[in-house]
Amino acid sequence: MSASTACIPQLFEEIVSHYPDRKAVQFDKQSMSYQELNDEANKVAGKLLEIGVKPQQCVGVFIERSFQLISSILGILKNRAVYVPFSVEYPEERVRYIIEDAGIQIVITQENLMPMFENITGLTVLNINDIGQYHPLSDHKIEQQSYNADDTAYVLYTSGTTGYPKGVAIQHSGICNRLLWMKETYQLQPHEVLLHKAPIGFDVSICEIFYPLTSGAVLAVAKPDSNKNIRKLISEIKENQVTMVHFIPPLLDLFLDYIKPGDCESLRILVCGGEKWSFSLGEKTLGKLNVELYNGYGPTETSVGVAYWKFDGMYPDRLVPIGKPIANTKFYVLNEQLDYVKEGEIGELCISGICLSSGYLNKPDVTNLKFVSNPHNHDNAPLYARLYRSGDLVRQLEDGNIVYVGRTDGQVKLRGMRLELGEVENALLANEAVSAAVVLYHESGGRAFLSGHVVLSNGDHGPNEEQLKAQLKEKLPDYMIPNSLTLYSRFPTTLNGKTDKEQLKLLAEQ
Amino acid sequence: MNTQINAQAITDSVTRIVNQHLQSSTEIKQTDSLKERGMDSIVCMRIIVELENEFNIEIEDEDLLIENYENINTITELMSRLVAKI
Repeated sequence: MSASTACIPQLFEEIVSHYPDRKAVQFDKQSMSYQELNDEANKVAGKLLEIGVKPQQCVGVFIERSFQLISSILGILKNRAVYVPFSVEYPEERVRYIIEDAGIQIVITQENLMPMFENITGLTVLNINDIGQYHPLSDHKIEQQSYNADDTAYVLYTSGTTGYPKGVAIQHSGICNRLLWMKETYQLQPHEVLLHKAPIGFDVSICEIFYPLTSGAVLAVAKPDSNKNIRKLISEIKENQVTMVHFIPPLLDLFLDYIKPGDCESLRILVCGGEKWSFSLGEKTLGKLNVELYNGYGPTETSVGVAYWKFDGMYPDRLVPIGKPIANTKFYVLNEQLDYVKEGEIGELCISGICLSSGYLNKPDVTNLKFVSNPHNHDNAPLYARLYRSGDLVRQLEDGNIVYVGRTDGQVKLRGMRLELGEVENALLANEAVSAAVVLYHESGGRAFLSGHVVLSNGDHGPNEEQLKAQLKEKLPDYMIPNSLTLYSRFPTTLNGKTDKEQLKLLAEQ
Repeated sequence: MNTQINAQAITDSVTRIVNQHLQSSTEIKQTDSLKERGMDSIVCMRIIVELENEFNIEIEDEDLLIENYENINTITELMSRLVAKI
């Protein structure tokens, strides 16, 4: 089936009809077959239909990881409604904002989380624990449901650096393109297991849940607490005999620190993404596990992931590129006027293809700014009519791979020279002793300068500040060398796990 | 007397582990909110593993509640309780 006509529930139902008895989900030592999961999802779909949910109406989901989480999402999609996840970690204010912005009238939740919605008027709150009492959607009604690949499948809210979160609407055609590409690339077999552990407000969770369920493999749902204790995460991987898992770089690093030789040998595929990671982390991974390690890249606005690169320990210059585009996707490296930059120069990564979101909910101005008409679509292919400006600065290597450099707002001018902070960071990361690097631009007391911040892979046994500076000078022009370099055992992080640059900045200015 | 010394030792170890993992320019005090000092889930996981090793305990699900990790004092209380169980 081609991606442009595929819908998640339809791909899932095809598996159900061919392999009803195959194992679909496992959670806490119990499992459900594809047929059983389909029956549960039909109950949710039947209930939603009964209370009058219309196609393309947004339905909120606020449920901890469980069997019911999966059947609820499927039930919503079977109804042609739109899945809007709230991570259980979300504060009340964010939940309220999303309910209002997405016009949500119905939320599916669980008993102990119901108080969150007590004071919100005009909201129907369904308790998923009552799922057994729901009437399943009859087969007759299912036949009447004709899925439409242009329908919105889900709306995810991005944090955004300024202002309120933005709701990104993703269509079935876009996400199914990703799912079908995963199926072809990673080739999970029917008995193989993918672990779902990401918070549902993070778009990676969509692929974690639906790649196995649309390809006939097994979805293992990690218990809610496994995000809080690495020992528990490791035992989830062991108990479920997990084949494939996604990590953000700091969690992968932590995971590797605590696995023992012989642990987690069931793992075959690791995808690491969410932020830039170092070549050293790749080497550390392959040193401990016999796996294929992939870099995963993609803005939420382009259906989870659009680029991939398989880690290669022999890759030149110790680079970790985000790689090349997935199927039905094109990359352009452009300047501010949307013209091509010269070969090998830094420009903004602009993305075109079936994966593009229809835009931000209720925000036409930002939508028009970020989603523009594609000036390079010379044969007027409808698939490539629009262009998403990612705001990510990249460079294309001679072999075609794309290297992430930084954000468009990371460009600074120092003593009249334009430079990318990300370029200096990459030069630091090229050193095998360096596992993380941040370079910051300061303007204080009437002077402008750069500060470099480095985490060494081997603690005290690596190079000192002076040695690192000397190595930088071999690679970069003088004006790009940070005035100060500071070594850390670990960077401070913000609440959502990213490096806290504000705090590093304060430290450097003291 | 002995428990007194133990309690102080536990507070000291917790303070050391927390400060080691939160990389702050100023020392984190016993009642400082760790969330405000930059603790996220990954740092919390690292701290939990360190605590388990330091005190030779296993922290079970019911004790992984985020309220237990609000500040150095709450972590110390939890550790004292778990150590007493051994």
